[in-house]
Amino acid sequence: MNCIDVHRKLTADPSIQDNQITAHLEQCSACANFLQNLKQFDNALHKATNIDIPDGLAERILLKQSFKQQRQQRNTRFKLYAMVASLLLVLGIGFNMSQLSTLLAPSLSPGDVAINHVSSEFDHLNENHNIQLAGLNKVLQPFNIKFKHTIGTINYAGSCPIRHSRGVHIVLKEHNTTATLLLMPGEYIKSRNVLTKGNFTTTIVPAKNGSIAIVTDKNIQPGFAQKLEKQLNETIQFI
Amino acid sequence: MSNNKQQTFEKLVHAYSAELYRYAFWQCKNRELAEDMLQECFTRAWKALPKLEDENAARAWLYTILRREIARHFGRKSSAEVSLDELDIETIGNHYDCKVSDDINLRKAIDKIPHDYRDALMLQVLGGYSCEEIAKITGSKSGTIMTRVFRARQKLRQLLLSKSVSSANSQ
Repeated sequence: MNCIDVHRKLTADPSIQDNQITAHLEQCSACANFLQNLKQFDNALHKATNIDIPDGLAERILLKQSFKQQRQQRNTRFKLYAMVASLLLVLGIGFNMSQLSTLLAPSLSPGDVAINHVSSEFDHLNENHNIQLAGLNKVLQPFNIKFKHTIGTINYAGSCPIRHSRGVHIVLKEHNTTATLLLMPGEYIKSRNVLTKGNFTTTIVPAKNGSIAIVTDKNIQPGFAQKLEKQLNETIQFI
Repeated sequence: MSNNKQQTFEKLVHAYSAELYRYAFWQCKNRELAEDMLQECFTRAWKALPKLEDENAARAWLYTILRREIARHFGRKSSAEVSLDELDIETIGNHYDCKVSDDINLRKAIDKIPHDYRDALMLQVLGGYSCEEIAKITGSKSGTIMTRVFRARQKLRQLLLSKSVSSANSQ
């Protein structure tokens, strides 16, 4: 193998493993020098192409993917319901509308999902991280949400799976009372409602791309959740 | 949705989204478009994930999907096979002088080299793939990839040298 062949192969792949090239390099200082320059050039090339990655890239990809899955599941569910409805019509079964809507309702409402989630992640209620606004907004950023200011003391904020999507779980303390905020993408509701189940009460309100649940101990006065809801409306921004 | 599929998918996104984004950026030359292409890539990967038999092959598989997405977006078809000719060998030169290779000049030069050359070079530089591996990802012949990477480096060198000469003359 002559110098031109060696240069050609090294230029095409400076990391090439080839016994003939290795043997040539041991005897030819010019080619060894060529390879050294080429590797320095490649290091510069790697440094120049190693551009910054946008913050929250992976989280944003996962979030958007979960929205797409939600939409597909809703479409599939809708098609299934449409087929069932058609079948019922064909069979002439006399369901009235209330019976039909009971039949078609999803097994768990977003309110149930919120309470179940807080119950299953009960440990977060005892966290005490005292998260500042910047830290909170870093968690919210992949969801294209921003808080203008914090509400009470934020003791925990993190993203976690809520039913089929990733959502945001926030635990806060206001006037010595602890509450959980769940931002739940894909959990759609038509209007505000309140649900009490087990030890918890949740006030759930519609929001962009889903809903927001305010979950408190069931013995807390309803006025507390209403006050939080008002504060939330003032601070939350959907970007 | 199986939890196993979801976990595998999340692992892939966390492991490879950064390097795939960089590759997409150098193909699209636009950050937003690069992210859109990456999103589409992972959407297709999610659908096809059950067909992925060997997780060790996932990285190259994702590069293949991403390349196709970018090609689809730009309406590109695969280029003709090429091979090294005598001209390449004569112009091979002896030196790759990294003194002229600062980040800005290099980025400008990368932007100017033909798409097929840049594609193969970025798979090697960012992905760390050999010519044979790039050939598998791109569905080309190994010799064609060798030629493209060779010409990419040659073209970069020429652009950087001419830049260096023109700035020396202007001083």
